[in-house]
Amino acid sequence: MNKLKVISLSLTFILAFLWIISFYFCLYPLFLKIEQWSKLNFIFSFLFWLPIIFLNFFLSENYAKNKKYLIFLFIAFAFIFLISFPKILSIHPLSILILSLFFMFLFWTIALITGARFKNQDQLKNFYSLIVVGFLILFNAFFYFGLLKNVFHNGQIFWGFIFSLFLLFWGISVMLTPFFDISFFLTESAMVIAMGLTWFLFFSSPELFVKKLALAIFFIFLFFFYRFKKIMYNEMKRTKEVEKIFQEERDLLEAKEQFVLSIQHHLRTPLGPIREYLNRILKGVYGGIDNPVVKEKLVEIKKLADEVYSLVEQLIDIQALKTKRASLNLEKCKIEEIIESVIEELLPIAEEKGLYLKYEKSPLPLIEVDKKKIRETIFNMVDNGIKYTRRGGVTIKTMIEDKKLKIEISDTGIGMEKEEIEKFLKGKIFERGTEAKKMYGPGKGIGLSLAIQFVKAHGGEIFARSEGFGKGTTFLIELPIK
Amino acid sequence: MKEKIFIIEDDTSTLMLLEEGLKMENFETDHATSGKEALEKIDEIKNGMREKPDLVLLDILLPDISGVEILKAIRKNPQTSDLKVFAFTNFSDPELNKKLVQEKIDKILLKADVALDELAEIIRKEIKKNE
Repeated sequence: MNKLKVISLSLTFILAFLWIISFYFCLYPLFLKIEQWSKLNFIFSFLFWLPIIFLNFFLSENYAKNKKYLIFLFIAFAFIFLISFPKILSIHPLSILILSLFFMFLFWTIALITGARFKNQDQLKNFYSLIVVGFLILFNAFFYFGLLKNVFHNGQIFWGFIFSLFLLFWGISVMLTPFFDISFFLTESAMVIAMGLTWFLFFSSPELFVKKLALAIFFIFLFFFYRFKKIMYNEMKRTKEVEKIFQEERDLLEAKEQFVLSIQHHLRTPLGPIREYLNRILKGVYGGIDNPVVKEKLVEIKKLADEVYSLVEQLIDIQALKTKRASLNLEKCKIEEIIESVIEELLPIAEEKGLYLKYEKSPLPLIEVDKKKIRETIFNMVDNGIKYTRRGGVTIKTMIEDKKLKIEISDTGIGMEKEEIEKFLKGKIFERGTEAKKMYGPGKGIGLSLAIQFVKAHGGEIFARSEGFGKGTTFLIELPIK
Repeated sequence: MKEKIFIIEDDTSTLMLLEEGLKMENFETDHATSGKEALEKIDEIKNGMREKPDLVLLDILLPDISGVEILKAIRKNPQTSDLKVFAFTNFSDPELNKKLVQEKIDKILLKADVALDELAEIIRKEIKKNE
């Protein structure tokens, strides 16, 4: 497909060049007779449009679907050519040029229509270079009639040829620029039109002063045109490079997340059999364990294995949510019931520490959430509160505000430093806070990270607020109500 | 007669445990430890050179061939297309599950969610459903 594109493109440019040459040699016959040049020009008018129409089709997305249409166009072209060519043998060479220009306009319109639904960069470039071709046709028609009406004289034909070539190179440059932008193209067009006008002024004005001025302005425009193209090109090249770097970074991050996920998976695989064997040993599947010390140690190992297992599970959950590989299992839930079940589970632990665990219940509507994940979120936050509180206790409140469900969990515990809260909210905490480390040593703040990811996956947010050390912490979970 | 379970699992410890547990629960077992081996054995079942199992336990993440491909191979062949297949995996991925359901998986089980005796119970129920 790419090869076809390159061939069509090169053919287009070569044929355009031949068309221009034959057009101007027809006006100023050299090497061949005027009749021969005009016939050549007529043939090139047809040939020129074939690669352009092909190109339009190669660029369109449903190229295969349009094959029939393409064949139809090809036959139509051949048909028009075959019936018109024998006729032109008998007409005046300069009239042939008019016919040639007429067909150029006709095919140009067809090409423009077939390209009108183009959207992506590659296609648009083709579309806009077609517009440049339109400029080219328009200019040549204008020049031709200028000659007929004696606005221009024969000595100026060379300059018409040069300006045509300039338009052709512009078309090529539009097609070959790696990037494209509409405002960029419009600016260029405006400059070219201005150049065309000063060029016209240069030839049509009888005053030498005006001629000189027009020529000077023309070259100034030409200079700016060149500068503009160069600057824009460099600018866009840089933009593209930056985009590339960003993309690489994203790919790298993605690869890293994948790697972490796969490591976690490999950690989990042996943990399954470890836990299951321990289970079976403790159940007596392989015979009794008579030594109570051995049994006690095995129970301890089982507890540790379970802990490692749930840790790995939580890490996988975080990673899966971060890389959007996990989806939520949404169902309509009563949040009150979730909170009550969390309290039921954690109350004995709170009471053992001599803490209170209060739930200030208020009526709530049914809310669509992933029950398991939201329960774990609330559980982690409350558990966290109990863990880091020595006196007092933990209070849970719920409220509905601005179409959001807010769950407030406040404790009278050790509190958090401002920087810690910031880190926490960015999901950067995988470490216990400063005061928490004093109580428990360094450890994992995975419960909180998990809570953040769970809430984020629901489109919600978690806030934290603390007056400082020893003044307790309040966590606020906000979930949108759909 | 004992029911026969064909286990496709690359992790040998997990495989050992599964075979041990299922044998204790009165099943007969056969196994493959790679996708390639699994396909070969499925081919043998197809050709009548190996006894047809009552159920296949299929690990999805295998080192060489994806479990989804193995399931496809089973479903493609008329001799094996009616085999009961359970996906038994560590990994729950919604995209992957969708593919498995498309290939008519009978059940997707997470290794962490079921203990061995529970697994045996689920298998027994599924096989009975067939009879």
